[in-house]
Amino acid sequence: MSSPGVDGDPKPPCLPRNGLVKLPGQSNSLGAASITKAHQQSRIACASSHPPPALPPPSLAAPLPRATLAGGPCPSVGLPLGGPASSLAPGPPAERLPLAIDEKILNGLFWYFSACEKCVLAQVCRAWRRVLYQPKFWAGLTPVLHAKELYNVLPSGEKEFVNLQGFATRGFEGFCLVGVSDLDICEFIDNYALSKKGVKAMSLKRSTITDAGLEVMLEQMQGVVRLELSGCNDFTEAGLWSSLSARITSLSVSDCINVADDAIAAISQLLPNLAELSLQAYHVTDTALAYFTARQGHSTHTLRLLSCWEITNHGVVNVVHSLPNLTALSLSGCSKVTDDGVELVAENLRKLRSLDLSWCPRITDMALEYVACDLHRLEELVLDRCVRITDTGLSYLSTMSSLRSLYLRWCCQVQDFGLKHLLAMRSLRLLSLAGCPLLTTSGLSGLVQLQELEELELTNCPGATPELFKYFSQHLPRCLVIE
Amino acid sequence: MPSVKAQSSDGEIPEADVEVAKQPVTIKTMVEDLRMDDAGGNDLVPLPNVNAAILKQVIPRCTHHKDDPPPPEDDENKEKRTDCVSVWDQELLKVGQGTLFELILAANYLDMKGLLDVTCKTVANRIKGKTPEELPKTFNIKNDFTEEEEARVRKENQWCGEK
Repeated sequence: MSSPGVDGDPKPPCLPRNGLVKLPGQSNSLGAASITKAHQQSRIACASSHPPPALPPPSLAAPLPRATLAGGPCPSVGLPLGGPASSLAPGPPAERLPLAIDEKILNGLFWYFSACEKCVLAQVCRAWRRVLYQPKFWAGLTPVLHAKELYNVLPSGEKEFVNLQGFATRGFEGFCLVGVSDLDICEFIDNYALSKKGVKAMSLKRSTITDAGLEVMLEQMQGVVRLELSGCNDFTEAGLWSSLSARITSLSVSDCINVADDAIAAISQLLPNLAELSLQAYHVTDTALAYFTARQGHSTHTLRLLSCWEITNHGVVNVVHSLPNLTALSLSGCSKVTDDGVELVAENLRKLRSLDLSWCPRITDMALEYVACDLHRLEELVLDRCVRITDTGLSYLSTMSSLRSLYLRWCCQVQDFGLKHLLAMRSLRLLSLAGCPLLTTSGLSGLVQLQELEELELTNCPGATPELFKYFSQHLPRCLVIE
Repeated sequence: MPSVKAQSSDGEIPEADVEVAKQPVTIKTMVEDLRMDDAGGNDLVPLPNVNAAILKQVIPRCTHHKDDPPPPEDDENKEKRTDCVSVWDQELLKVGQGTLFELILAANYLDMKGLLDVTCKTVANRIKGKTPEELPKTFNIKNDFTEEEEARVRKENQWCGEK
């Protein structure tokens, strides 16, 4: 076990255990290489800007203390820019900052941009970068870094690891690394200041991480409690046995060729605090779903079994018995599951708030009757590609008073009559009817009755004409309608 | 209808109906604190941080929107949408950058969430789609990065989009 190092001493470098050699001479100076990408936008700069009118200094007349309302009866709650402009007073009269770099304005303004837009704005000037690089603007975001982006090529031809300070400043809690090797991961751990304690989530995609690499990563990055492995074919179940740590609360494994029942055995034995498990594995069978222990029965609230083609209703029996506290369940693509399996879920998992039965071709309207009858707390139901669902199934759903999100993508038998059943569902906030070919324009127009709807997806609906979208923009103004 | 006079930083005194003037929460509180609504119309509400030109644009908006329901309490620390700006507000806000920023500051000072929201949305929509090369020119800012800093900030922001 590698030692963490004593404070003040240089820490021993992270060594991969399979004999690979690290890069020599790690300086952290900026490389001379710069990447230029052609920017395709060519918007004309907008209307001329007048020079801002000069703001005279605030008067010091007697009423001023009332005017500033500091801590007064009017709470300035919800103001992104902070209280009245008491700090507007300029210092020497001539030196006034252009308002476009006024930090109070920027602190409020930058909330109106997406993550990608913020990445562009950080490149404008130092003031914008300084305001933007506060952690609050990046909460919940995960940078995706490809292996090649982790290195600068120096003029001498050597490679050096990039400086990740700009990521540390923004306080990212998670990283996704794509196409990385054991060595790359070691370099990341050594070169990112917050790697040992500050990173809570790691995701590796299409990477060649081995059992030894997995062990080193989880040992060194003591803060990681959420782990995702996708498309990684070089680690085995033995690697899971040797590296999984009890601190992990969320695990996702998908498209990793060596994962089968023994992986679930390892997970069930080693992860008593597991709250969320996502598994996409073609070879996992029903028996493995009985491995979950009582600890997980208590702690696990989300289970996603994606395209687990071998799972049958027997596997569902095992799930409902070993994980009775589930609030979210996905059986998406578990093509052998039938209505009987859904009946078991409805009868036993009464706490469910989210159920995903997408891509289960054997599911019929009967399943929806079971769902509507027993799952009173259900808020989200996904039925994409459940091609046997008809208007009758929708009539069962209409009684569900908690349902907020309903996905019916490519439910090709749904017609206007079925839509009518949905119109009474006042709780609905999100509805997707993408790819439903039988819905007509007049049938869809009835959706204006759902005045509380916030998002409506009508992509690939032949009945969704431009006139319909115009109609919605007038009569469903608060709803985001996706074409 | 009783009226209230607000004295701007440069000494002018635009007049407004007291109900309209009470929209900015700042003014509402001042008016109620000093019990101006039942006094004669001669008291002045001092607004040292807002000049007359800006105040003259704020008042028509208060009038136009006086019957609007109060905006919902929103979660401050969340990404905000930039659509849903009414046509009337769009017309009002066809002004230059400088004035827009002044309006933002005024809206903040006067605690007018609705105005703050539409002015920020308007500025944001002018910014979206522009490159880091175009933006300094649009807003009269200097790109003060060194060459090295510029390369670094570009590199550490490539991870989003364009993949």
